[in-house]
Amino acid sequence: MISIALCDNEDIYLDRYQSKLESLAKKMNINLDITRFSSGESLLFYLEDHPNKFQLIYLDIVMGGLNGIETALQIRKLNTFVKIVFLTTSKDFVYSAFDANATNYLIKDLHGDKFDEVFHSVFKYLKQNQNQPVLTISTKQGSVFVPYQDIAYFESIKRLIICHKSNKQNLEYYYKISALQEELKTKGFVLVHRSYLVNTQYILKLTKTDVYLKNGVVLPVSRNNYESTKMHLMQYLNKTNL
Amino acid sequence: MNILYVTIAILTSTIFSYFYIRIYSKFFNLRKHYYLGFILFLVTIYIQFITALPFNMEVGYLGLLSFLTYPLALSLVYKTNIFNIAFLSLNAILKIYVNFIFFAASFAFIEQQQFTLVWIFNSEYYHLSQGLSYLVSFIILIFFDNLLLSDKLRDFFLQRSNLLLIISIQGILTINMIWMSATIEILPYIWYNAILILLAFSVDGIYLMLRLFTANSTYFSVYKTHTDTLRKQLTFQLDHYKSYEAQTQEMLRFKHDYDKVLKSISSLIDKRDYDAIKGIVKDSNSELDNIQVRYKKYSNNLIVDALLNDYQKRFSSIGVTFDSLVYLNMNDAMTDINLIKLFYNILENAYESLKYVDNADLRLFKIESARVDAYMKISFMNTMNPVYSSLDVKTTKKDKLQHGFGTSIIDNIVDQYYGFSNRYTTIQHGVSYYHLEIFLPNKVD
Repeated sequence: MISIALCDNEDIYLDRYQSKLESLAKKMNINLDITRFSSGESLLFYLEDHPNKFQLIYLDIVMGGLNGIETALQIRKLNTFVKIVFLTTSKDFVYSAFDANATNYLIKDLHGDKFDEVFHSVFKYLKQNQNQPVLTISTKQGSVFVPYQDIAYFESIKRLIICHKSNKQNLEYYYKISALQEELKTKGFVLVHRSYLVNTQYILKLTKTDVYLKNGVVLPVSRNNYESTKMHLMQYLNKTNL
Repeated sequence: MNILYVTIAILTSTIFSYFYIRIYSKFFNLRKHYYLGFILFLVTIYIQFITALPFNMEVGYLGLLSFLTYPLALSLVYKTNIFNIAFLSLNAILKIYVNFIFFAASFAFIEQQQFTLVWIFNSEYYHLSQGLSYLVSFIILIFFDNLLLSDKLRDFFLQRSNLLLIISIQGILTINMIWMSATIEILPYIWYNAILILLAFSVDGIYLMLRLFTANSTYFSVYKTHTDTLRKQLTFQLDHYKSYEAQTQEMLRFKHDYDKVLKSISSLIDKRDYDAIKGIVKDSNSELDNIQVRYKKYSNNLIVDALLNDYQKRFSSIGVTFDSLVYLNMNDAMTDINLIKLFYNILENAYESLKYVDNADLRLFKIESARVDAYMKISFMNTMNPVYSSLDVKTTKKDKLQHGFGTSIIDNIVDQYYGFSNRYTTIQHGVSYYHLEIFLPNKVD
């Protein structure tokens, strides 16, 4: 089930795109929950109470009152993860759409197959992230299950591994970082230094000597690991690009 | 005493080797298992400290081993071409050997003996000469390669002609040095030893000065290339300002007419001549459209936009379909000059490549932007003629110097802002495409 918001001040477009989405969903054999909004204000009003309700929002730009860009910027304050696709009649706002971190920008009546392609890629992304894979860590207190996406990085001190979670909580256990690196090779983790194994999705900036993480932590990057870290990061970014 | 000399030799040679590999790693990428090459490099050096040779092997042959093992070891250390490996190997051999001869001949002079390789090999000064040779080589390496030539060597390695010249000189000087030092003729020892000392000193001096000269000459030729490039860029900017000036003049003319048009409409309303009003509005609209159509927004940055508009015209002149959406929102704002240099070089490379696409209908250039997580991704794509394009040589031009620099300028700028780039080619329906992806850290919201 994908929860979608359609926001447009013209009923004709709301009807058209609702029916387009329903027909796509039928073809793909998936269920949709579509909620319609006729203004940015009404959408925001709804999101204030249900910020995580939608996974995908189709937003018109030229609307009476709050325009689509302003609405999207307000949405981003409530939810940074929701995918926003602009559906508009004008190309003029394309650069502002980037500021709102939009997934795509489609021109009404001119998008052709692009509408379907964008929906397919968003669906693929949501499906991949739906089932959160977890790492099982055996500690003295027993097994602990940590979703990969909650792990910012691992630190190794001799045989001790410290799992640093995004909420700054730590888990300590005995293991070899080389074995951990091998296990997490396909999960988006990269060894930036002989003591640090980093989750690529937490990388904010990579320099030749340091890696800056989104949680404010700065870790050293060794000379030998810089190229492989760069390659991993590039692969991750290309995979994430919808 | 000999143990002390062996220790000094091992210590200084290890320090020299470590810094030699480290200093040149600024210019070439290290291989994944580079330490294997480093170990081989060290082993080759350490072998020469062994004084008990099997099968009565002569010491000279032991020295010649470096000509095989150094290139092999350095190939295992760096990912680079054979010319750079040849330069690095001969550079190390020449430095170490010349300094060794200098000290060995000096000791022979003190001991009032004629220098021969056999004499030094069997004397107590063998390891001391080696140790001092590595020490002096290390000092020269630090002051010369690391400090004095540091900024100029990157360009030096790019210019093949100067590199080949210095490799030839390295070869000639090494052969001279070996020939002179390996002679077994009975000569007046004072004269011979003094000649050897003088020769070693001269070779060292000549070699250092030649390297200084070639590095500087490369640097200045690069400087000239950069100046030419800059001049070309400024010409483009000037063209842009001229077209901007023409547009402004047109806009001012329109503004001037606008007042009159409004007055005319107002008097036509009084006369209820609606057809005439429609005509005036239609004419005004088309006039306004003409003004707008000359400038298209390709980017959210004014400077890049100006450059893209100029290139759009240039690309159109060779029949290229041009499309661009550049969004810049960087964490560390790029300076205007770097922004111009980056886009100019990318566009110029694409233009050069597109010229070689035989079928003008297939000439296509497209820029796309995307915000991907914490990075901005700007993708450049152009069609290309695979015969004239190769990713390996970094250039499609005959003038490899200038075009190679274009690519390295792009990488240097991207690097400077903690970004990275990716290049690859694809083939779709028989058409070859060249792709350049640039990733730059996004501005934190």
